[in-house]
Amino acid sequence: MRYLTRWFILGIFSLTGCEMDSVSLVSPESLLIAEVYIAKDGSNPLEATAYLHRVLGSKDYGPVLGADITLTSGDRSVPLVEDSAGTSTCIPEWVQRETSAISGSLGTCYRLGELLSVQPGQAIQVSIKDGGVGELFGQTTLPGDFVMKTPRSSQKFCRLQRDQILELSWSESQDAWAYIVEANIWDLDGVFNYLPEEDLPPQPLHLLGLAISSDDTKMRFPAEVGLFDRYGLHRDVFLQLQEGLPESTTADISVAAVDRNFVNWARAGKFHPSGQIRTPSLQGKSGTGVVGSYVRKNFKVLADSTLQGLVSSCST
Amino acid sequence: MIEKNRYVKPIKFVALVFLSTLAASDIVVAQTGHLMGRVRDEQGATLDGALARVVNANTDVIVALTTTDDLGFFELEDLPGGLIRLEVQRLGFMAYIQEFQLGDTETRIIDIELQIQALEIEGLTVEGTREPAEIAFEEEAGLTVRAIEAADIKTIPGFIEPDPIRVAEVLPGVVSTSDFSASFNVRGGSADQNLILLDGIPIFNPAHLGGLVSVFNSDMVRRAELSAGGFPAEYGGRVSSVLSIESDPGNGQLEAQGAVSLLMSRGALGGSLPKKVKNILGLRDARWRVSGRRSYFDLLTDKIPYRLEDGQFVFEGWTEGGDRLTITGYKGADVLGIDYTDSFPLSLDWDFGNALIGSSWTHPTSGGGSVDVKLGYSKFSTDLKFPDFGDVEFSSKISQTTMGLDWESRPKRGVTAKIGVEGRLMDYQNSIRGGGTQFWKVGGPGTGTSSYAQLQWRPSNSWVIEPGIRFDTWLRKDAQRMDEISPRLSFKRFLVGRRLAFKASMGRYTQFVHSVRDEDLPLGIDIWVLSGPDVPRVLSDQGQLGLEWRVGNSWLFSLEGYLREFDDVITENFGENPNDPADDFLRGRGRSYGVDLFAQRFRGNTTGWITVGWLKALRTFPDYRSVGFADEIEFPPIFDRRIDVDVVLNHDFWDSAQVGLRWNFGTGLPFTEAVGVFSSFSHRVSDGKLSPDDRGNTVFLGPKNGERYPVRHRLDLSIRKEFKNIFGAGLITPYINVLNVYDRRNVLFYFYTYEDSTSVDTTKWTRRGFSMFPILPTFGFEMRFR
Repeated sequence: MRYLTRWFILGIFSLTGCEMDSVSLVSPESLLIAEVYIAKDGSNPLEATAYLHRVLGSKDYGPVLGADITLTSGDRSVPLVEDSAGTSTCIPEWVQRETSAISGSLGTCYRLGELLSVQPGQAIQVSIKDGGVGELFGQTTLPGDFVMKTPRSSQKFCRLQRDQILELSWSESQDAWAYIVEANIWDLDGVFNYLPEEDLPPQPLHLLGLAISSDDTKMRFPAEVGLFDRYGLHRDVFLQLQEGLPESTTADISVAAVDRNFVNWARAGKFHPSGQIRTPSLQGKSGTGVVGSYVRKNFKVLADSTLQGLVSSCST
Repeated sequence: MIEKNRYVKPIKFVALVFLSTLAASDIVVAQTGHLMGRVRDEQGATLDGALARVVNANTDVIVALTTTDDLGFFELEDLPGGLIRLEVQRLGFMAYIQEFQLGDTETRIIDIELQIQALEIEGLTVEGTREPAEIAFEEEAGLTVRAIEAADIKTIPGFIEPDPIRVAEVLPGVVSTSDFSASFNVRGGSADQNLILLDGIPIFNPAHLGGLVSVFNSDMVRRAELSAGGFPAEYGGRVSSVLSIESDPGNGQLEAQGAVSLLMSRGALGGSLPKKVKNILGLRDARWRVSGRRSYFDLLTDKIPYRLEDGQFVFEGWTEGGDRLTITGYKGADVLGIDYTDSFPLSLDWDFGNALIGSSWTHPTSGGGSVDVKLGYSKFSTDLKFPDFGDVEFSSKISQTTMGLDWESRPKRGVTAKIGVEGRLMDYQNSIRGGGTQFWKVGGPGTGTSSYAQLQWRPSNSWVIEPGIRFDTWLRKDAQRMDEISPRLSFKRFLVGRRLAFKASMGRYTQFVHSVRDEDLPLGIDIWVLSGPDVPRVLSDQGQLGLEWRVGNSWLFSLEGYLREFDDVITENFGENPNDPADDFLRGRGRSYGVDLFAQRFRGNTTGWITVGWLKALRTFPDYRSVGFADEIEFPPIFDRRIDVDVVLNHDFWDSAQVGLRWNFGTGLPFTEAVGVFSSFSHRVSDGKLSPDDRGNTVFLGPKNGERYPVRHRLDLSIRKEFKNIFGAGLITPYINVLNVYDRRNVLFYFYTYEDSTSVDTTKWTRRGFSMFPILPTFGFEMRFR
């Protein structure tokens, strides 16, 4: 909504106002941006990454090497270490390939160096020391665990009829501020092969759904997933997704209960003409950032009538 | 002992000044003659603004004069006994003159009917007519009120066409934050603390086009009046100001008006009910006017599928007994409908608008009093939908039904008492939903009552004292009832033969409704919420001191200082917890103080005014971005314009031409500087990786509103020329408006960009600006046929 409003307003101004000459400014302060995310997926080990980058155009702009990052839960502290694989743990390869266009990829990825046992509902503190220049610190509380009801938690994959809506539902996660449902839908390009190449949906098509507050534990897939992605799709594609998945497509779905910090960083804040305003959860004079956490469930949905009898239905 | 002596002298001095001020007055009312009555026209409609004066018939010296009030009532006191001449005059009417003997202690009541002047004599002015500024000077104790008549509204240059709300910007104490928005701030109050009334009925969103054009059709406006402070007890509902727009029901003659401008066309038709209908309704006079407006964007090009439209009607009827019945109706809408195209795959329907209807019945009582019963309903709603996705909707509605009774009486000479009660039923609903999720939903009804009692006491010609008390209640479901007692006190002390006046007022004001529109946005729609379990009421204590000085026959000077405290103002909490319905808004407080200087020339070929305002405003709120480490931040709000100067001039040429000029100067408004931007990412929970966020870079902010834009100044010009006797009976007035004559690039906002993705070249960190209106010439013409 705020995104739409901003463009509506800028549109009106472009009709009646004038852009003024630009003024070159001295280099902005070299502030550190830290994006720390901690995820728990069933009984799998805790995942934690930190991506450190800097304010664009600042004098130290570039990789942030040698930072001292520590996660603490209870009386145990573990470090995050520079990712030997470059930034691929933090940023997808396709983004790295387009580095020239994505200036922010000039950062450094850190990952968990040792196992840290944290259960849903527990607090985790993070401390980031940037080569002695400054320190950022913050805290997150891993949301409570939840179970999938439809499809059941035990179903790692299930079958959905073509053009059928799946009523996703799950139990409530204690202290979650929101649930994020992400779907990567595969093979849509084959279904819409009559469209010009520029209108073909990407492979996979990534859709994001939001359920706000801890007791909002339902979502209709795929109709209600992808609210913020519709503008970029061809009309035929998003109208089809209102009805259900087309035949011979599959979807990888993740449902995550996310904490306060995750929500505050992701949602837009007050209007500012220069860009987004985010609400941080890392505090310190040398920068800003987020330490967000979530609990996640993954499963796969297959829209393939030939699998009837072979794969259980998602609704059973 | 030394310390005590240090203060004795100044205390004595202050006491002496105060006592001498009191002593100079004549508190005892002399037992002299007394005249009062009502002035009506031939149809029985009371005539406001008529001049009534008493002349010593032997010496031809004027001994007293006054002007009739809204109900045509006049009262002249302290008259010498003997042969006197009463003269009553009003433009468009023949003068009433009567000589008679008045006893030394006699009170005489005279009702007068003025005859319409058959021939309109060009250039004729009524000698001794009192302008609104003079009336306010003589009759208001503490209220700071400035009125602008319809003719002046049309000569103040507006955006595309004359705009009654835009004229509020040029009044003292008023700050406008951008050229684009019709919203305004008065003496450090927020825009939602201004009560905007159309014939006494509140209007919640007084603008089309998100703020560019007001909902008021200037052809239908008789007067716009801004009360900026020192409100007596009868005022309530908002804490900062009242902008009252009064409809013009016409004079009963059949008349058509129209206008064509670059943006829209408008038309109005007025007349009188047929005699038969009047008889059936039991009315002596019944006059009406209707109007309509519509924009052309959508008709000229299908690329702008937007239109604004509104219609208004007003009816005024008078009974044989002098009772007045008024009915006002308004309906307006902005409609944007976008069908999907190859480049924009979504269909979108967006509409917003106001609707209101109100009526009042006024019964004049003997001795100059009146009983006034009013009933009104006002609604604002907006609805944004994507038809392809029935579950995606943004909607906001607010409505208010009001019923009230006011009773004014003059129990004895020099005393006017007024009491009133009012009941309000309000309802609101705000909803944002999509993708199966309700992002925001608040609403529900609330009921409020208000009662007040106020007294205007004129112990002598030198004093006006106005004590009052107001009691407001507000009740929402599941919330404790809010009761607020608001005492008010004003007084005015005339000096130097009633040419100089010292005035003071103080009072408490309460408001049970808030707009949560982000005021940093130059355009926008007010989204209203009512006080309730999670939303506080606003409480404001205010005081002001002033001097007014009437110089000669045509100048008025005013200097006022004020202090305002605002408790429990709110702002949207962008860090709110979705699980907690009680934290949607942050509670804060505010303070403002300042001085307004006003100099007006209200008579002559060149009229106008100069205002100079000095303001300091502050707001204090919890800092939702501080990660819990800082409790509060104090900052100047976006409307904290330290110095604001307006010069408004209107010059009449001999040949029915008018030139209007407005020059505004203001020191820079505060803004929050971006000290850097950084790349934005969205974290994907499916693979735990970051992907670029297509909403653009994220801003690293400096201190809240810690910087200021450059000074702004702008000259606007309006030229109008009347051509009479077109087709035998018409009047055509072409006009040209030029906004920003010397093309000053006033900054609307700065935005900071970093343009090169790979280089660390420091020259790429730039600040750009977006200006407000460039030079903007527009033209149009108005027509009037009888």
